[in-house]
Amino acid sequence: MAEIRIDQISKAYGAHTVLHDITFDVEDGEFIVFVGPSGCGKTTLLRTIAGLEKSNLGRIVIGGKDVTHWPPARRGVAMVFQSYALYPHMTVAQNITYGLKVNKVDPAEIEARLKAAATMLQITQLLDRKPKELSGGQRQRVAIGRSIVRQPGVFLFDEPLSNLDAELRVQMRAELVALHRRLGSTMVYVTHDQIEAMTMANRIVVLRDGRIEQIGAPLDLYHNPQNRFVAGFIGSPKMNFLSVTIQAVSDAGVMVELPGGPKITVPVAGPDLVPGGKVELGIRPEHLLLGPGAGAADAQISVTATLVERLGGETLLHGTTRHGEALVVRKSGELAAHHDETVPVGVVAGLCYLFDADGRSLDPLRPREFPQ
Amino acid sequence: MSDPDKLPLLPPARRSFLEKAAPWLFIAPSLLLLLAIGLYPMIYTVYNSLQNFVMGMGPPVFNGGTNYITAITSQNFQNSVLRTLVLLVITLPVELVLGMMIALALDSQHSPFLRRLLQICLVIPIAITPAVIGLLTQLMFNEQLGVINYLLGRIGISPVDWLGSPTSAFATVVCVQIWEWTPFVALVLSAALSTVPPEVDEAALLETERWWPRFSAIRLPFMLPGITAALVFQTAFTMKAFDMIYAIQKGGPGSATEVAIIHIERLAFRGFDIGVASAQSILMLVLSIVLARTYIRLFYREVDG
Repeated sequence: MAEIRIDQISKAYGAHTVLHDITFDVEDGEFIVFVGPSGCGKTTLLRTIAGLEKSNLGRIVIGGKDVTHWPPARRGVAMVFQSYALYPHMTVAQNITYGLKVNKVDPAEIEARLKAAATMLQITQLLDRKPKELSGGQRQRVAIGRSIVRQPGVFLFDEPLSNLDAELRVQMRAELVALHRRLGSTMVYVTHDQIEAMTMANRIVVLRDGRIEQIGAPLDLYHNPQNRFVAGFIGSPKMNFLSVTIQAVSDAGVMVELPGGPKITVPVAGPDLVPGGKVELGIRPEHLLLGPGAGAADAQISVTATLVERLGGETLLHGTTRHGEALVVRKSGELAAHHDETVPVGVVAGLCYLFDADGRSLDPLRPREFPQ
Repeated sequence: MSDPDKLPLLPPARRSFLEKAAPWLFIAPSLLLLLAIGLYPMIYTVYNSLQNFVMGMGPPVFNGGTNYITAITSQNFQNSVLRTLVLLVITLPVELVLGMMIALALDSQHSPFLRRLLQICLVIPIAITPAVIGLLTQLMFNEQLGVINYLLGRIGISPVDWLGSPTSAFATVVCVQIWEWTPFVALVLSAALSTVPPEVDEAALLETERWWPRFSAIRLPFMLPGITAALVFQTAFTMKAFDMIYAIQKGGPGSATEVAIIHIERLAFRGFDIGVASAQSILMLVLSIVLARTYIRLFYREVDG
């Protein structure tokens, strides 16, 4: 069993606090991803779990044992570094088995584990090579192999795919997910790439400025962001945000005025809102309607296209509203619109989000019904 | 875009004489200085080593390799070389071990201020003129007035005539040589230690909590070029050790601290036998080069990642 409990962890470098009172649990066998912009503290948090950084406050419990003051090697964790951190003077086989040898594991057992890991990662033919003779993807596999043979309770990954090219990254992503299924170990993964987070995680921890913004399953974060930051961070292209004025607050929701005058009632609870105040309306690019469907929406706004990206399966229309706010619309299939053309875009009230002045998401009055 | 292979070749650029000479002109001052103070004296020494050249006994006369035979067969020279090698064999390992310990201590020091302060402290012995170190040694190890005997007296040890007996005088030279050069070795090894990539070190930290396997298998391979440099430098410094030892008591008592260079100085400037002294200098140079090459062959390995 290797569940992790992060309990009120705080960490500061001098006067600069990088982790503020972080508390959450990782279940045994879970694949959890820390995601956030650069400098949000995600790597520091990972290194604190590994024992490479000492926290100023709080405790870390792994597999039921308080490891807060334990040295890294005793914690039963293995880590894959962004730079892979292979030992350059050792062969692949030596890299993988070093940890076992220094911990006096039986030679026959070392051999068996090396063989199993090499077969699993398809690096059997590379065992006698030095790291400099390997490609980025191969080095990555060796780094993973070095982790696997130790049979740790917890795997820690620090942006392991960021040095790979796009194609290889997609491939390795799938392989890591498969590896997780196969080993069933607890994995903690750090990335700044929200697509990696969405595709790999059981749960995502979104961090900003050393604080947890939200924890949840990928689609839960996508559909029910608790604040504007999470709404903007999760999803690609990003959620659109429009500054709107409150017209009325009723049992049916909050009525706001969209750019250009149309009004819609967003079904969210806004007990503290008053007419005349400003809120932000968020709507995902794929929830905006273009073409014939636009007329059936609750309201329409005019958008002048600045760029039309035709990706084959889908089209992205980048444009500006009458108020000059940027907007992206995603439509599956192709679209006839062209640059500088003004098109009507339909807004469905039930798919909109409202964020108050503090960036908090207002609770929906009923669950949102997303188009299938 | 046209194919770059099919573009017409540009005519070779016509460069003016000044343009061609510019690189040479830039390095000329330092090159000339280097030739004047480095190469010329060496060539002149080689030239002298092949002459029967005793100052005040007429002009030098070419005598083939006779000076080298005289030098090698000289019992005094052999003894002085042996003394130099003994000094080297004792001081080098001690300097290396102490230097490594200081480098590791510096590395584990987390406070940047304290680290900087320690580094500055290390520079002090290197910055003091060796002749001054020699004079300070004379004072500190003086039988009646020296602070060493005073401190020993405080713990009940009777005064030692450090510079009076051959063995203790040599031991004094060994101690002072170690004091003078360990900080330099520590700085070189500290630089070598900083070449270990932090993530590689951390990867090892995650695999074992034992210090020795991590040091020997992960850090040491990265440090080998630095260690080799420290060995080469320290050997050269010891082989040409002169000023500090001369200032203590000119190679005495008797010839107890007469290392090779002091012997050569005596022969050249008191015996005036420039020819044989030059031959002995060249032999010392050859010995230094042989040792340096040996270290490089044995220890120099680059980790290329």
